Amino acid sequence: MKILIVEDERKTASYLKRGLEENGFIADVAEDGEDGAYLAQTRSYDLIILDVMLPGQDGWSIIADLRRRQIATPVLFLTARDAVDDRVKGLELGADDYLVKPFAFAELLARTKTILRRGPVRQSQVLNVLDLELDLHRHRAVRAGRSLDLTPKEFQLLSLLLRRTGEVLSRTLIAEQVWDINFDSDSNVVEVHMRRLRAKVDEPFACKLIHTVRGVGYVLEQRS
Amino acid sequence: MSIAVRLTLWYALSAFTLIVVATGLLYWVLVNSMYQEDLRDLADNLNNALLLLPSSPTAPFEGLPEQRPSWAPPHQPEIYLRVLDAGAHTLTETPGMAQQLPPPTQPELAAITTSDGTKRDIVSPSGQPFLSLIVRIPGQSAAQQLRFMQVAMDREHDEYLLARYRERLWLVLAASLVLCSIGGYLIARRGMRPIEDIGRTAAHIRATTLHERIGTEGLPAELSGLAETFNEMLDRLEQSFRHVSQFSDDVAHELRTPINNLRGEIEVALGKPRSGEEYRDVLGSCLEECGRISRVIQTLLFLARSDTAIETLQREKVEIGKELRTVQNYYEAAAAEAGVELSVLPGETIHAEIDRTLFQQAVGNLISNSLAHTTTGGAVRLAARADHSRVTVSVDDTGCGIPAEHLPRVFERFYRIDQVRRSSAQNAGLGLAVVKSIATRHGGHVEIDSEVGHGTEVRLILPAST
Repeated sequence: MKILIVEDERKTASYLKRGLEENGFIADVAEDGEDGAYLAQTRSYDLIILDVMLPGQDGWSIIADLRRRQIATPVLFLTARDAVDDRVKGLELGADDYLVKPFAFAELLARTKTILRRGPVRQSQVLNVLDLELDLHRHRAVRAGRSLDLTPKEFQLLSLLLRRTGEVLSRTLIAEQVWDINFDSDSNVVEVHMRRLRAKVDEPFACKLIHTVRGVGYVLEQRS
Repeated sequence: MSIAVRLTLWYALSAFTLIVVATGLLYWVLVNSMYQEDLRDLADNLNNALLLLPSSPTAPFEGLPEQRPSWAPPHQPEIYLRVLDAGAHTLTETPGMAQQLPPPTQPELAAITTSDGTKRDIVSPSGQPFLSLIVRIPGQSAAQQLRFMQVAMDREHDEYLLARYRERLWLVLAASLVLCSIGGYLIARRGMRPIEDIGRTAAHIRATTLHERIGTEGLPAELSGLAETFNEMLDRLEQSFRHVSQFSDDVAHELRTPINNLRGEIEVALGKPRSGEEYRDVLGSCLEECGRISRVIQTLLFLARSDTAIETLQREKVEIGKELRTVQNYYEAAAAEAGVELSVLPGETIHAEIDRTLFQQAVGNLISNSLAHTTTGGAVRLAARADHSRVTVSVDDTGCGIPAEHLPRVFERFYRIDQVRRSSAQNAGLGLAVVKSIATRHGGHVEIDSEVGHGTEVRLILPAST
């Protein structure tokens, strides 16, 4: 998977490149609008991460050019301006998603993966990691043969973590996916939910599955 | 054109017009009365002459005035007298009269039928103005004996007087035009001076001298209103200015703390070699601080944008009760952990066109606030009701309450009841400001009631539709 990063701020570009490469992507960096437009038009990428404010040519005109040339590479906008009009403008020009600076890298990674997944992935009815098994159809969670007594929201939370095993999920994303809460709540509400879920899923067992990634979010995975 | 110039012109023009009309009128009256005087004079002379006229046309006529003697005063106009028969032949006349005034023609005499007399203005061949009066001499029967008497008066002196008078009049008018203009200018300047004073005061008010005000004492009524309006504007500006600088102070403080933490932690971490685990711990902590900074910035931007109202709401039709339960669900675990009962009171189904995300945020902030101030065993209740076109959402807690003196200010940015700043990011003092801003952006408002020791109720009142 090849990703083009068009970003004039060197530090941002460099950590994006490193982060993406460590997550298995190949990333090219263009430091101004003209280089970015040239690379986007001449090489083939799976995704373009595009800053709006760029020297030379701004992000909007780059995407407008691309779409005019019938190049349908997905575009993820990075912007420091989160006025609704700006977002709408970006999406109208054919961007697939946008992120407002400052953003969490985990968020960028999650959105990148979502865009690249392209179309619905077939979800199996039964998810499992190690000795934890979730039957989505029958709404049942079992660990090490013992049935777990979960509330519907806890079940939803656990299934989200399981579906995206190994992926760090931010608190914002969890709140959005499980509780349909769309604002960025700055309280530790998700933390409490997580604590309660862990009490049921992890505490009675020796091997812990749910892990906190400080300052980022949570991940469910089997760690040796 | 400046107002002063315009006013001057108007003053001068109207005053001057008035003077011209008045002098014109006076002149006309003068001319008229001089003429009437002459006419009366002439008639007197005529009557005197008639009395002296002998009945026989051939008898000598004693009443004939002499040529004006050289010692006669100049203002005494010269009188001429002439007697004519029906055939317009001169029977007798003042010596020299024929040169000055040719006798009237026969048809002219024939036209005179009454004894009242016919007056006429005549200009002599030498250009002198005369006033003449001709009458039929009464008391005659036979046509042959029909006689006429003509008296005439030289009016040159009158004309001379009037010409002198006119000359003076022009001088007076010219002088009054100049005086009117000067007077007008002075009046205009005097009238404009308070405006200039206001302008001068306003011109030197700067950010540092925002406390200065325009003096309203001694100003005319029209201008004192203007000056007061100016002063009110300055009050508002000063207040906004104070707000902005207070706000910047708060922002600086709010950001300084986490950035300081960040810096310190990193410096200490880099001070000596550490294990991977320790580094991870430091980085995690740094990330948390970054999250805190981001959130403060985001919230401040949100509030700043609300002030300028450039962002439009993403309104959609929402069922209030459902949204309340969504938010309640989200906070349920936190409430349970704090030992507080969080419930949504049952009520009618209410729909409203609002921005769903912002509504969730407002309710969320209120719940979060209530939970923070309610101890174990307490309760937080959410309720919604509709009346007319408004929706009222209330968040009611059994918490510690807010002292009355703080109530008017709790919705201000960074306002904290306990002035000791808490380190926790949740409590930047922006939560209620955000709630108020959300209400305002929906065209609604917030209300708060509180009793110390009993609890607080905050009501979010929004219009149900746009």
